[in-house]
Amino acid sequence: MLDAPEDFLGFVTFITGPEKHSGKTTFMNHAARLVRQAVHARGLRQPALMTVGYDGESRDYLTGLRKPAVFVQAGDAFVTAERFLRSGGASPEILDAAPGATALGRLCVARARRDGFVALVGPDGNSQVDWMLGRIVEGGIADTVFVDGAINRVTQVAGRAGARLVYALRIDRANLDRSVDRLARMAMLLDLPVESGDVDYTVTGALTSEAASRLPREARLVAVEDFTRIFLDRRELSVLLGERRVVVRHRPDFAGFSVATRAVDDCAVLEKCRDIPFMGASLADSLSFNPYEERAAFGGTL
Amino acid sequence: MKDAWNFAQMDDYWRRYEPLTPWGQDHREARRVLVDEKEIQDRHDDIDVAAQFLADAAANPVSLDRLAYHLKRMPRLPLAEKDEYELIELFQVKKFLANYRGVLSVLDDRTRGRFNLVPACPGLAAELDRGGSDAETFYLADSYDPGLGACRASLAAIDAEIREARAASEERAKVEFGLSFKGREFLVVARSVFHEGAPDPVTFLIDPYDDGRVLVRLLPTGSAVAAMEKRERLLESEREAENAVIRRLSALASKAMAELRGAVAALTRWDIARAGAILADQTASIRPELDSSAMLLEEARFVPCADECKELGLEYHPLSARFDSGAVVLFGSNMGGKTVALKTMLFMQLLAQAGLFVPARRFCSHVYRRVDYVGELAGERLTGLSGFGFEIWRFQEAWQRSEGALIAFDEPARTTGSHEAEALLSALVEAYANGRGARAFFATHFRGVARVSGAEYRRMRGLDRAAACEALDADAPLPERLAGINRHMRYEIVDDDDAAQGESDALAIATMLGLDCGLVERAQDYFRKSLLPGSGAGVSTGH
Repeated sequence: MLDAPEDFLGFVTFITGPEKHSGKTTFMNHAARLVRQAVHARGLRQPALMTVGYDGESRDYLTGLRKPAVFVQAGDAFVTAERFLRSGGASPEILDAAPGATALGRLCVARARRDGFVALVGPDGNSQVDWMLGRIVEGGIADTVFVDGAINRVTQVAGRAGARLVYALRIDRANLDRSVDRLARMAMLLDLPVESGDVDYTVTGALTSEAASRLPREARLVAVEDFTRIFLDRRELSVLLGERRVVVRHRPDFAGFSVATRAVDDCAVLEKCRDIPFMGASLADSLSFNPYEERAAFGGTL
Repeated sequence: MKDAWNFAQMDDYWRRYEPLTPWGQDHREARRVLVDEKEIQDRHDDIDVAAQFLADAAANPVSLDRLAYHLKRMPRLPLAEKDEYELIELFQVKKFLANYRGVLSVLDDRTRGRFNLVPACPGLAAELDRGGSDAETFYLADSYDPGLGACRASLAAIDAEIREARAASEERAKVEFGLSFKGREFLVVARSVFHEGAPDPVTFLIDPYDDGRVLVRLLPTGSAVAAMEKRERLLESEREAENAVIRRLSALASKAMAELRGAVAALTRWDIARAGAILADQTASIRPELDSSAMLLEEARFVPCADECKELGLEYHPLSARFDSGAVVLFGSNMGGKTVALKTMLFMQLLAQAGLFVPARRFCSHVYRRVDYVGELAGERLTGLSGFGFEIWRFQEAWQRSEGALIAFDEPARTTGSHEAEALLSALVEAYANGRGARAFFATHFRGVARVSGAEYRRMRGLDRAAACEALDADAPLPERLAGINRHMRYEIVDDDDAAQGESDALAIATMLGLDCGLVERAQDYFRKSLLPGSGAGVSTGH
């Protein structure tokens, strides 16, 4: 799971995670690399990379120079702002400019004419994300798109055909229980059924613990727009789901969880997730681990 | 004029008006009501020309699709002179010019001439066309500067060198250590991979990852490091060469700005004329005649109401009427259509003064300096005033700016008792009838309003009671009853006369809506008594 080009080819994949440094960009780079190898072999279009907000710059590990964070291959499309367009040596060709501007300036869709690095800058609002995806997919720029995204933009996934969600997170020894808690909460949210008939009550805004406590006593079947509107922790959510049935208006297609483990065995994570139900099976079945891990066929001697 | 705009439900219709360029859309969003007759006539002339073009081109739908395609793709380009434009701005100029040429190629001579759509900035366009893999994309091509081309050729050679070195390193890592990088920047591998001693510091950079694994990166060879340093220098040279090209293209663009502004203005004018012509065609609209002191409506269709009727399965009746006076009093029962009649008049006038055609068989009027509405609003805007206070304040406001205005009063003086209301209304009608070049419509229930010289008194024809009673089904559900009222209501404006006296449509409608028969009968008794001489009802003074 999440380790073959077919997991991404022809999809708009939103990569989200619980916080900064949860491995979203690393996962995007990994998935884009898989896709590039496949499209070259099959004569398809190269991927497009975009983000929601700003991905920042990092320092080049080898040279110590500041450089944009995301590698693009000649032929890749990407979204950035004017001020970052020519940094990174990708020799961009501008394909279109988005209407309006962000805090970092006007955005454009560009195509790399040379391998290089780019700073992805994306739209802030849902309508701009929609415009950008429409321009890229319907405009024939790319069929495969990666959106390094914030969780609160998941609404776009639910509303777009061929869009999927990947949830990336890092787990280490110190945060193992908390991370499993997060995974379990996410599994519960993603498992909420889609509204299919009359409901007793519709939550129009955010479903916080306070809003949950104010739900009418007689409302057994409660609807929310999508799972991103639910701000309850795992325990609160369990309590709510024990008392009522909660349905969502829109549910995104889900591609899987990508877990990067550090100082904790993958088996320990799997073991803790074994009994957590998800999509009619075990949550453990939906986890993929360490996209950069190479399980060497044999060891070498230095 | 916002209140009039809202009252006439203009936004319900405005959604159908669809200019395609960003500037055409700005124009639509501005919702301007024009007061300059020449400007309005020019807009109407534009629509005539656009309609003629669209009719001529109807046999060639592909050309019309191309026209819409180019209009939709117009970018919002910079229109001010600058020393240096951003790359995105140069792209926008190029994209604009490409689509502008596309528009010109579809239009005929007459249309291009009318809208002053002439070829723009051919020199700049040719220069920008050198950069980009198609007419609408842009990059700083090698051909812009010989130094740029040479620099990029060197970069390509260096990139090939770096790729080869990397591939060789990856191959070595695979063969010697079983580590398959496949283009990955780093790998996380088991420590045991390097179990027999320290890793080769020339080949790998290895960092601890956790207890059992390490993070491994391929170190570039010495020659690859040299190549990467050279690449950085070449990138710097490329950037300088690109900056020089940007400056040169910016100078050309800056010089062309006046011409570009002219092209945008011409294109916007064409865009809104085209949208107006399409709207006119979709809604069977005609050009208003704006040289008439009277207001004449022939089969005027208040489209928002017609749409609503269609949705509800009800019949819609277009409005025909002529008004000559400065003050027109329109009587009518509840649900008799007088408010819709007011809306229809404002709707026609606002459309005409917005530069559009009107959905009617004929509409004659003239340009008013203002179009106002005084009546119930969605929210009261002057806190601290009672309903009556607010209404009086609005009467005064309308009166102060009434010169040359068209004003619709819907149920004026509704916030006070009927005697005072009729007195107040009588004074208003008298004032508007006597001057200021305004035309005011008063839709009211109050039949006791004074008949003053110079004013017109009309009424909605109202309910065809005989037909309605015959069709009445006392047990029918409410929607059916409403449909019954609609079917038997005659939405026509006729002169007010004595035929309106004696029977009450409102009470007949109350019956049709299911009010208790005993109550209705008693109400009819009281109503008839109120019409007897000396009953004290009304303040009619006659004229």
